[in-house]
Amino acid sequence: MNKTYFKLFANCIIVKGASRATICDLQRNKFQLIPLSLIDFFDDKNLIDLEKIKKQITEDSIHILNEYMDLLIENEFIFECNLKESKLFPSLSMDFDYPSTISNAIIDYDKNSNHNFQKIIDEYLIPTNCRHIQFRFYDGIELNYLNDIIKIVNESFIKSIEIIVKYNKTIPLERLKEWVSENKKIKSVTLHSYSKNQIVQEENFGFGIIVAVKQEINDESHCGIVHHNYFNVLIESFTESQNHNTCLNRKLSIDKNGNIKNCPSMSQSFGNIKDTTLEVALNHKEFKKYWNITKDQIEVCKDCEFRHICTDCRAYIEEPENQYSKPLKCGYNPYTNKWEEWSVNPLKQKAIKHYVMQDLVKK
Amino acid sequence: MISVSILLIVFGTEEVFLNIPNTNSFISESIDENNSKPIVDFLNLKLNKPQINKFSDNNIGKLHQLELCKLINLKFPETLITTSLADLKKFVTVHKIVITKPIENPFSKHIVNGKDLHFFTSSKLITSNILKKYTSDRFQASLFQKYTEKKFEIRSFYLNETFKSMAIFSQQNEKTKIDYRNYDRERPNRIVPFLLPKSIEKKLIKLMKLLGLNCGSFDLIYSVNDEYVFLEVNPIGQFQWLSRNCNHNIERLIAETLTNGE
Repeated sequence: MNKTYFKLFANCIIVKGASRATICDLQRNKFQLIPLSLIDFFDDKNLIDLEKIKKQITEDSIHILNEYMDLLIENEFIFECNLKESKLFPSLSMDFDYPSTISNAIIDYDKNSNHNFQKIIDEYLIPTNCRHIQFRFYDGIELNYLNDIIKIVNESFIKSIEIIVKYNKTIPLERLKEWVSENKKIKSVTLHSYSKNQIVQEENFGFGIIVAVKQEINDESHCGIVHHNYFNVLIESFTESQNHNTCLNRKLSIDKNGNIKNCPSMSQSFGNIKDTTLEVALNHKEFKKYWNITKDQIEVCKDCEFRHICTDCRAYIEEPENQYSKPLKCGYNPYTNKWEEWSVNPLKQKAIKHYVMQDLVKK
Repeated sequence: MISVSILLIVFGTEEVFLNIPNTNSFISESIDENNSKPIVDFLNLKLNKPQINKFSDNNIGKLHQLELCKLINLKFPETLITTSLADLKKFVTVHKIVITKPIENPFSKHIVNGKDLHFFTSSKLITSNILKKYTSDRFQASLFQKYTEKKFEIRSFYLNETFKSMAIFSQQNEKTKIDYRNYDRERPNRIVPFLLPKSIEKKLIKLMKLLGLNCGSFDLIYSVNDEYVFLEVNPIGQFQWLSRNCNHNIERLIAETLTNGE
C-alpha cells in the first residue's frame, strides 16, 4: 500500500516527436529535451514504478536509469507519492477558454497609409474585447504621432501593445526611453533599420523593453519566422495549440492599406475599414478558415517535439497550394533534430519564388 | 497598549485563552473611509439576485472557524491565543515547534509620529531557543499553533459546493517551507491541480453552511501523517493564480454563477 511511486507533475507535459521528446514545463516556462526511451518509464497514469523497472532492466543499463531519474528529480518534474495519493492529482485540463472573440490584433502602417486609429480601436477592437495589439510601422514616424495613438490606448481597456517602428533620428533614444516609461501599457518597442543590434532598455516585469535591430522590416513579408526564440512554454498557448492555430486563432489584422484580414501577410481580405464593418468581416465564412488548423494536422510539424510550444505561419508555407504544409520559414527537421537556415534549403526555393521573397532572402 | 478582553474556552483537551476577535479590519475601515455604507446596504438588499458572499462576510473570524471545525470533526492545529509568555513557553514545551501568525488580518496599520505605517505579517516559527531572548512577561494578544509537518499544502477555491483545488509543494524550498508567500521567483513551488477526497469536501461544505458563506478560499495542509489539517477559509481569497496555474477557469464559474448561466 505504501509503496513509493514517482508521478509527473501535471504541468510538466511530455510531447513525443519522431526521434526525441520534450518535457514542457508549463509552470516554469521552459522545456527539457529527453530521449524517447525515457518516456517508457512512465505508465499511462504518468507514474514511475522504480522497483519494477529495476527488476526489468539489465545491470549495465542501471546507470542510464539513474541518470534519467536524476534529470527528472533535479528539474522537479516528478514527486514521490503512494498509489492512493497519486489518484488525487488529476492531469491538467487541456481546455482553452478565453473571454473574447479576438484576443490579439496587428495593425500595419507605412508612408502611404492613412488610418484613423481612433476608429480602428473603437469600432474594430473594443467591440471584440481585444486587449493586445501589435503596431508595425514600416517607415519612420514622429513621436507625436505615436503619442496620439498611445493616448487612445491609455484611455481604453487595452492591456498591452507592441510597437515595431523604423528608427528615426528625430527621436533621441533618451526621449524614447522616457516616453516608454511613462506609458505603462507598452510591452515592447522594436526599432528596425538601426545601425546595430542593441537592447536600449531592459524589460520591467515583462513591459517597457526597447530593442534596436539592424534588420529592415519594410513590409509584412518579414513575418512568419518559426524559431526556438519564439517558443512559448505557457499553459495558455499550450492548451490553445491543442485545438487551434497558435498564430491565427482569434487574430484580427488591419493591413497597411486598411484591409481587414486574419493576418496582414495573407492575400485574402474581408473588406476595407473605409466601407466594411467589423460584423460583416468577422461573419465572412472564411474569416476563421485557419483558426482551427493545429500542428497535429500540419505535415512534418505533427512529428515535431516542439509542436505545442511553437508558433505557426499559414501565410508562407512550403507548398502554397497545400494549406497543411509546413511553415516555409521553419528550418527545423524533427527527423534529424537539426536546425538549418530555411532560406537556402533547395526544397523551399519554389515557394520563395511564389511569394516573391528573393530579395528578402538575399539579405 | 490597548487592553484585551480575555475569554476562556476549550479546544480539544487543551485549555486556550482567546481574545475577542478584532473588528478593526482593513475592509470595514476602507468602506467607512469611502463612505460607501449606503451603497453596501443597498447591495445587501438584492438578495434575490445571484450573489457571491456579502460585504459583511469579509469579517468572518478565524477563531470562529476553528471553533466550528471542532463541531464538525475537522482537524486543525492545536491553537493558543495568549498575552502571557509563561503560557507560550508551556505550549512550546509540549509541541516543540510552534508558529505564530496574525489572528485576523495580515495587514496592520499603525500611526507613528503622525505617519501611517503599514505592515504585512507572514507566519513565523517559534522555538524555545527563540523564546529565551524575550524578557517581558506580557505581549499583545497573539495566536500560536502547533507546527504541522506537511507533505504539501492545499489551496481550494469554493463556490456553491464546487471545489477547485490545487496542491502547493512548498516543502522542497527553504524559503517557502513556513509560508508559501515568501515566493521564489526563479524556481517557484510546484503547483498542480488537486482533488480533495469527498469525505473532506463534505466537512468543508458543512463548515461553509455553518459560516453562512457560499464562496471562500480554503487553506489546508496535507500532513506527513496523511491527514488533512484545516488552517482557514478566506471569504475574499485570491483565485487568479489558482485558476491560471491549474487551468481551472474559475473566472467562467464566477461569471456563470453571477449571471445565473444566462
